[in-house]
Amino acid sequence: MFLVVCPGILSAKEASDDPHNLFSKGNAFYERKEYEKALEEYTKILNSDIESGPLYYDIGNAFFKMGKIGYAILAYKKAQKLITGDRDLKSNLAYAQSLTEDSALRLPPQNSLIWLIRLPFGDFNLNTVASILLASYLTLIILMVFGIMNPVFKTRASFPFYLALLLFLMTLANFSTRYYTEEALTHGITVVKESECKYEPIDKSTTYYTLKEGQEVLVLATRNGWRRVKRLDGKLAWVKKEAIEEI
Amino acid sequence: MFKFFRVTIIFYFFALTIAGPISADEIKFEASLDKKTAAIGETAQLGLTFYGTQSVPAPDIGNIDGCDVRYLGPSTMTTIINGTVSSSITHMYRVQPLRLGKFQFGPFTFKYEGSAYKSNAAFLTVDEERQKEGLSAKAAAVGPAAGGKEEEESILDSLDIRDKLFLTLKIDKPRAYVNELIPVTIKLYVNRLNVSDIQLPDLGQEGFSKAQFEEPKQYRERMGGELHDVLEFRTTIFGTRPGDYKLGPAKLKCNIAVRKRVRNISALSDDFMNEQGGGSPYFDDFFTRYERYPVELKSEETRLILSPLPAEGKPIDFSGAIGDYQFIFQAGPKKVKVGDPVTLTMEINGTGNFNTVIIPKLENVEGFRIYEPQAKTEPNRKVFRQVLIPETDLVFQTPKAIFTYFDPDKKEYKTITQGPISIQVEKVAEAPPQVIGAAPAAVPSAPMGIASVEEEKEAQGDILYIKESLGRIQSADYEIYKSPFVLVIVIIPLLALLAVYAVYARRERFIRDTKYAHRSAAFKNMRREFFQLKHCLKANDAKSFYEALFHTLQNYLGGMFYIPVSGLTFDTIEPVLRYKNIDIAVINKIKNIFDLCDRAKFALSNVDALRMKDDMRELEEIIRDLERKKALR
Repeated sequence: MFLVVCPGILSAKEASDDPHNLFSKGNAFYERKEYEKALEEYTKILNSDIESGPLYYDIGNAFFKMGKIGYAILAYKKAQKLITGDRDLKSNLAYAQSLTEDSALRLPPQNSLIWLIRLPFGDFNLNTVASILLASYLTLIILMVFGIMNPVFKTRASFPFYLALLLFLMTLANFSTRYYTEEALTHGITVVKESECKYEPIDKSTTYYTLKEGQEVLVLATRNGWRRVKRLDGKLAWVKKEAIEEI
Repeated sequence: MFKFFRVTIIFYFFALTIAGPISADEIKFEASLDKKTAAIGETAQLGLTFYGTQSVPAPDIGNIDGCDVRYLGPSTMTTIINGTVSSSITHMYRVQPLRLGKFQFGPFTFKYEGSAYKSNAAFLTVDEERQKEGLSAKAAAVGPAAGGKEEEESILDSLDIRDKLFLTLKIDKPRAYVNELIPVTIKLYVNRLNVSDIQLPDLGQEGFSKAQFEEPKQYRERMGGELHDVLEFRTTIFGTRPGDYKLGPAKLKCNIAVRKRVRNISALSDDFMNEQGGGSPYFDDFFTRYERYPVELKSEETRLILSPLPAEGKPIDFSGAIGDYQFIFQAGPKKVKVGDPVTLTMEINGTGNFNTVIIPKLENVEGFRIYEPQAKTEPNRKVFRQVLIPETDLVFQTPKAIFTYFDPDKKEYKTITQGPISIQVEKVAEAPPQVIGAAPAAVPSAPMGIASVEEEKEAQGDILYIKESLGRIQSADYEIYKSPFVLVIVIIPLLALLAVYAVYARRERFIRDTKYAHRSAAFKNMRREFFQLKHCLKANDAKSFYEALFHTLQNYLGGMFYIPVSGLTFDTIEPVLRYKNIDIAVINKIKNIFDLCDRAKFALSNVDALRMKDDMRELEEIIRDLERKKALR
């Protein structure tokens, strides 16, 4: 009897742990405006060590509905890494950022060369850009190998070769700049209503400025419960670790 | 001529010698000022002269109230008139009045070598008129001060800067109502001073609320005949309690960069520089440096009377708004279903104290569920957004909004009524459809933090709805570019490319470079022929061994130096070897091998396996040396 029932239990458990089921369950809670329960379901998916852009998007929505703008922006930013070009995400992120108290403080205008480099693949996430880079690289190598082996092919395939070379260089430049800003630099979001940033990582130190919920910073270091942060206007300060969540 | 000059000199020194020991009765003590009137801060020179001696030290004249006195140094003089020699010493003091009034210097009493000397009194008058006249002169004196010794002097120590750097406080309305915004202007006047690090003024008035200072304006203004640089700070304040107040003093902190001179210039040259209007730029460059001194300036106080708002004509629903306002009322959407939110936007704009402006009162709100309003204050504008949800289709218009305020200029209360605005509410047969992002219908009194955010969203738009599909799932933090597999994909094709290139480049060289092809072939053949040599050695077949040894060497050298193999002997190869700069020892070894092979054709009896092995090793050495030589080429 046990042996008969046991597979049933297992399959039921597997079904309940299925990320798609959990996601649907979370969405159902969301629709019923039970945002905390929705978040619980979404978190279960994350706990199983998988992620997706829409998942972070929905988490962001749930936080937003709960009035936690900082966490909402954090989730949207995480989603942005996966579904970079998603228009709904862009819209929600922009809207959430517009509600932050210090929405006037934004990134300085981008260098026009960097803007040009990022333009062709602006809607692709870094993984996709890396895939394109890899594909163009392999194409380039294959064309070069055939070109070496067969001089006739080399003559005839010059146009595809230069095309692949152009694609390779473009993706390489795009990937390099984005890797630097998205991966090499650690970004963080202020998740508390406001947090005082100090000159030194000491409670009694003088306050330099105050970070508002949802405000983005660069996290330079983390030490003894403090984070060394750089505000978008370049001001460096120390802030309590729990006030900032890394993206 | 020369004689006359020599006599004069001798006479002069004689006169000086006899002038020293002079009796006390002959010494006279006199005080004098170089001017009788001066302005505040203007310097004058006080001279205490002792006639009949040059050895009296400087008297201590003590402090003179309201006047800064500095000792500058001594000045001696010897005169010979009609054979009469007279000498004197004058101790110079710089005096600088710091207030208006008549200053008396002396009479001074001075004891020297048991005798007492008493001077006369000198007077310096500092009056208003002279003060006005002296402003420009004093400005010129801001530069170097007089002196004879090497010292540093600060302008702050020696000059009253009150007429050069001062702060004024002015309010536009000396009488105002409670909560009425009162513009306040604080001006910093600077005249010919180098002022830096100017901080925002501090009004420090308790009982008043202050707005932030606007961006300060900078301009020039003539005051008292002097052109001043003016930095104007403007803000507004309002008081909450009626009364008679003294506003101020406003305080402002800044630094003054003061010229400090290290001087070794005589008083005379200093006077000259002063006359030139503040000193010579030439000397400034060499003797002047700047130091910053922090100063805190204070303005005068000003009187402000705050009156309560008049009770007469005060509307019942007056909420305290004071100013001059306009009221714009809008509603949207105008066509909704029961349960759908309608946002009322109420904008109050104009001039006045927006802290006192609260949301206009709504009348006739029956049939609506009302949420907490959201207020947004901008410069000269306050916008309220009020979400209403019609609970029935029997409402046809929004409530009307009434805004009441007090106009302090016209001194009367005013009421603006806006609305109602017609709306169309449709009945829904089923449960009201979900409104994306709508405020929670079941909890109209939701916590302010959440409710207000949601209402804000309704008023301005909302986030887009959740996604129904989980999309492409991946392992957390999966990044293709960090995968070792990608590294392999990158490296292996690159290595393959390099390998293919190397192979094809070598092949190409074989085709194009005949010498290279021969050399390579010679080396390859040599390795093959060595197997045959080893085979002969193993079989102990001396004849075959030396034949093979000869051919191996012959083939190798022919291929190596690109010459025909047939008929190749040492005689034919030697010039080539020498031409190629092959080491003589190697050439000798080659010759030796050739000789051995020749001898072996006729005398094989004394050749054993050991000898053959040695000869093969020697050939190996020859080839190794030649290959090394090739590698070096």
